[in-house]
Amino acid sequence: MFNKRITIFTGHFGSGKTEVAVNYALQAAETGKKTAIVDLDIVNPFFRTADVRNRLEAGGIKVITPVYANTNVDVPSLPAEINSLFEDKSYSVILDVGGDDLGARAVSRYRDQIACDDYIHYFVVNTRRPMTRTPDEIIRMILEIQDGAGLKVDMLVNNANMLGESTPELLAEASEILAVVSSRLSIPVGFISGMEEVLSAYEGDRGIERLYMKKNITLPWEQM
Amino acid sequence: MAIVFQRPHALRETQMHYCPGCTHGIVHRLIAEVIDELGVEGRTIGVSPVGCAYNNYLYFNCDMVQAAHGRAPAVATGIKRVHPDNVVFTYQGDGDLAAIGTAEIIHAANRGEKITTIFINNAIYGMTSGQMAPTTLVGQVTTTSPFGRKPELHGYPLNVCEMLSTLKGAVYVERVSMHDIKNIKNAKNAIKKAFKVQMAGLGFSIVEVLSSCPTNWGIDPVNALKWIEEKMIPQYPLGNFKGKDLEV
Amino acid sequence: MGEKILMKGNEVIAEAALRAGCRHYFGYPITPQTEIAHYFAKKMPQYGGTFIQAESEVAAMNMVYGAASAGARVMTSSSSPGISLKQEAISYAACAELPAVIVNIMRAGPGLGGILAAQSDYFQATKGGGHGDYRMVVLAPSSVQELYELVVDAFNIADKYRTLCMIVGDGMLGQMMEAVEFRDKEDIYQADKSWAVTGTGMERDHNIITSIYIDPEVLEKHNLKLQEKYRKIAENETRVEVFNCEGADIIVAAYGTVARIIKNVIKTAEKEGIKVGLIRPITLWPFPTAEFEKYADVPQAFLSVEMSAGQMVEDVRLAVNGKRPVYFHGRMGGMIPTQKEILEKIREILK
Ligand SMILES: Cc1ncc(C[n+]2csc(CCOP(=O)(O)OP(=O)(O)O)c2C)c(N)n1
Ligand code: SF4
Repeated sequence: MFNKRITIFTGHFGSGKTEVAVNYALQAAETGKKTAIVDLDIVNPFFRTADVRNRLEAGGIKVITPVYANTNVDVPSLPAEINSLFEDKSYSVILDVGGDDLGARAVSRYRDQIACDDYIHYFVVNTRRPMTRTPDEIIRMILEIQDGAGLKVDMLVNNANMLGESTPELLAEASEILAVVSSRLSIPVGFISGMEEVLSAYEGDRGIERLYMKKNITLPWEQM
Repeated sequence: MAIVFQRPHALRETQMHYCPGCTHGIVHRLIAEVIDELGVEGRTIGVSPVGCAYNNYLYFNCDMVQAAHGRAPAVATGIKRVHPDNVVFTYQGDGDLAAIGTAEIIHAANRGEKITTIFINNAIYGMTSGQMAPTTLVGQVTTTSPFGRKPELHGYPLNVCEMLSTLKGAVYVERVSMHDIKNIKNAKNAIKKAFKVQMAGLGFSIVEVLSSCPTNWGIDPVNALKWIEEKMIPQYPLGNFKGKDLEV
Repeated sequence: MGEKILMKGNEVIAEAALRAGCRHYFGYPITPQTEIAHYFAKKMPQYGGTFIQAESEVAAMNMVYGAASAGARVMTSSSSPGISLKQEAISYAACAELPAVIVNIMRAGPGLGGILAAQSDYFQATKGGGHGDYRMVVLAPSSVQELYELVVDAFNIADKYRTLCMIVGDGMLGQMMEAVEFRDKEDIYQADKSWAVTGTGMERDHNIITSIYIDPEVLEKHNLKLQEKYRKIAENETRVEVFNCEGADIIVAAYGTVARIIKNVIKTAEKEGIKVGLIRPITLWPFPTAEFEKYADVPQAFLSVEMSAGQMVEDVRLAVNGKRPVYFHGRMGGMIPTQKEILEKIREILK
């Protein structure tokens, strides 16, 4: 982890990729890298990186969101600022892309700039989400997203969870499902992500890297 | 000609409410005859409009649904998607179809909904007593164009068949008239073909019928037929716009 | 019960509808509920059903009118501005007694307003919206699990009474994810739909679906019949959650996602020695008047908290009927009331 200049996260919408991208960015910044995160999610107007802007900025991270994120309009305009990140190579850039092939399309317009850069494309999977429950469904989703984004998936992320009701068993269950996907598409699992309490209790897959996460995205009634 | 007075089975024994000399009633009879001849009464569902024909659900023996003003094509879409093997038709006036329901008719046609629309063009709003319709002729006096329809104020008459025939989903488009026996026969053939096109699953079909409204035109029934021939047909040429060669 | 999975509110609406036997969906895109259409678009073909993106909400609701006339379980969904456009066919369907489910994932208004969460369509949903003396059952879930259960119930209630049912939520509920546990099989109310248009098959007289009654006496009679039906629905289908109300200092009325904020307020207030009760109407119509009457003497005051300028509060006042003061706290425009400001309001009232 943290060794590519551009890190792209895609996934089925609701796979938890925003939470993964945010934690990934915070930890990348902690390693001393000059980090930027781009919210390219034009699909999902609620609960996204713009919500946690303050935390990210406090961590020294540059945050770029769609022009209208978290306002009362749903126009998916992407800010021109994004282009500067492809030119200024001093930044480590994390792209949080919208869900499904639909959302992945937003990254497609940058694919030429990305392809000639040093990048990795992670596909985040939560096997407890509809439409990514079985190897067949996951493979279909990967193919659709690759199509939408115009970029091949390099690695999978096991992000099996049920929010507050997550358990290590879910990660184990997902590990078996992803093993099938890996062998059929020759795409390895890059890392496993989970909330600290849950992931540290997971004994399996010791050979695979882990991203211990803190909850950054809260619901309105959880806030004072 | 005795046959003309025999009631088709698909028409109920209810006295129709149309004004004397109004051709709405003839169109009903033609539809009923076609339903009889095709033997589809048991699987036909009609949709009534808002307009003078608002309650023609009382006149047909098949199942009927009354729709809001202009929405018959959307209602028919819902019905047809639930019962794809049924025969579904809408019956609509020119205010209903060409003003308030313009979006619904264009999109039903464009989706190629397998329904048939019988479109009554009488160049006026009948039910609400003679207001200007989108189809009102230039210069025609109505209660809302008391000085005659003026293009600079009201725009030009809307030619529905010409417009719909540009859409791929509309596969059979024909304009007919009620002004004499020969044309009434043509009208029946067109309605029959439109139903058959639907039954063959080819797409959307529409028959526009130039129809009289003696009451709101203020013309006696005989001269009203002449008015169709002399005034309406130049603006609304008769004939097939699409699907003439379809084999059904 | 089956396995638990993580789902978005909007997805659950579509999934629940499919499980309830709905095979016909007509809609028009509008944030924040469009995922409902996305889900149907992907799934409907597997079920051999129909998904149509209509040309407008007007057309979508009229397609619902047609499909319901034809005897199908049918649904449409939209958000506030789109629901305004559906009112025509809603009124017609109410008169023609057509069963159907309508979902409103409310956004802030008036006008185009904004996409963020609001509850400002309470009046529209419960007191008309369309013209004429009609009612529809309005269900207001507050969690994704409840959303699933109420969508299934909505189809059953609709068929049972030949009525429209509306599910109201807000963008938060539509967009948020929670674990849901689906039943292996749904209880589906088997309604007699011999009134539907299916083709006579030459075996019966024709069926007519209509909302026009020219004779005033007949129309009044029809209206009386509708009112009798609404009375029966009110008697049988009123739903409410009562929480922590025995001996409460103050009782808060809140529905949907706002009720979840109140549940946290209750915990915090407890630490300050204030007992806060919650009456959460699950059916906004029929309104759970009886529960408010029952607890009217208990607290010092009632407080209605809403994401509106104060709409449900009118029904709370009617129900409490002057026995206790009824206060209001609301936010608008997509702003969400915070625990902090609600607590302050409560302290101020109890002072
Ligand atoms: C929403 C709505 N607007 C207006 C009306 C009033 N209205 C009833 S019939 C009609 C015009 C009908 O004209 P047309 O479709 O040409 O049919 P015709 O009566 O000529 O057969 C109008 C405007 C209505 N019923 N509903
Ligand atoms: S008003 Fe005109 S269209 Fe209506 S029934 Fe009379 S003649 Fe026919």
